[in-house]
Amino acid sequence: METSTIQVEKPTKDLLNELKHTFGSKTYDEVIQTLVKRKTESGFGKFAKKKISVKEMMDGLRDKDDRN
Amino acid sequence: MVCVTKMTETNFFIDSSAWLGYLLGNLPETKAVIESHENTLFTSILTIHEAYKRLKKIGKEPSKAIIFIEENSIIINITKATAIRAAENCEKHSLHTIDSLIYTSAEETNATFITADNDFDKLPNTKILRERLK
Repeated sequence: METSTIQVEKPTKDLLNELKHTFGSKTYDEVIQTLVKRKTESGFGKFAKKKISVKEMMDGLRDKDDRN
Repeated sequence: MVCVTKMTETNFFIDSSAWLGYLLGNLPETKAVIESHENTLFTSILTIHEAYKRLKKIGKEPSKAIIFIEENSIIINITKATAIRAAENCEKHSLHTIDSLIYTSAEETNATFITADNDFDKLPNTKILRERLK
């Protein structure tokens, strides 16, 4: 994989070092990838008031009156 | 413009319909895509508007839902270049304005576009999720 150099400030580098240790990552690239892909606990279905169909969910979601 | 050059199958751009299907729990297929630690997720800033508006009406805690989206994906803003490319895509793919702005953002991140909206059927790099009827 092609690589490139990026500049970060010293406190950021220190933080990346710390996370490298915490995550058990071999490289800074791995640390950044882990941070980007990190997920919270599941939120599946947690914002429903009641069970609704997909059709009901889609109705009025997006204004579609401007097709070319 | 956001330029994600590393083309992988693990980059997914989640449309408003797919986020809502996940947050409301009526599209189980979204679970694997959204919760996998292998996947990098992208969301259009326009989805923040649509999801908030829709959840306020048919769901609950829209503000917390938006925080959830922000914590689990990278929010993509609309730039001038995206707006112009989206105008071209409206004509090319016969898309509505918002559809095109979101789809064009997905194209620019080189991610697979995940949606439950059939208007995106047959567009490149797009996966349409459908409700499983019992």
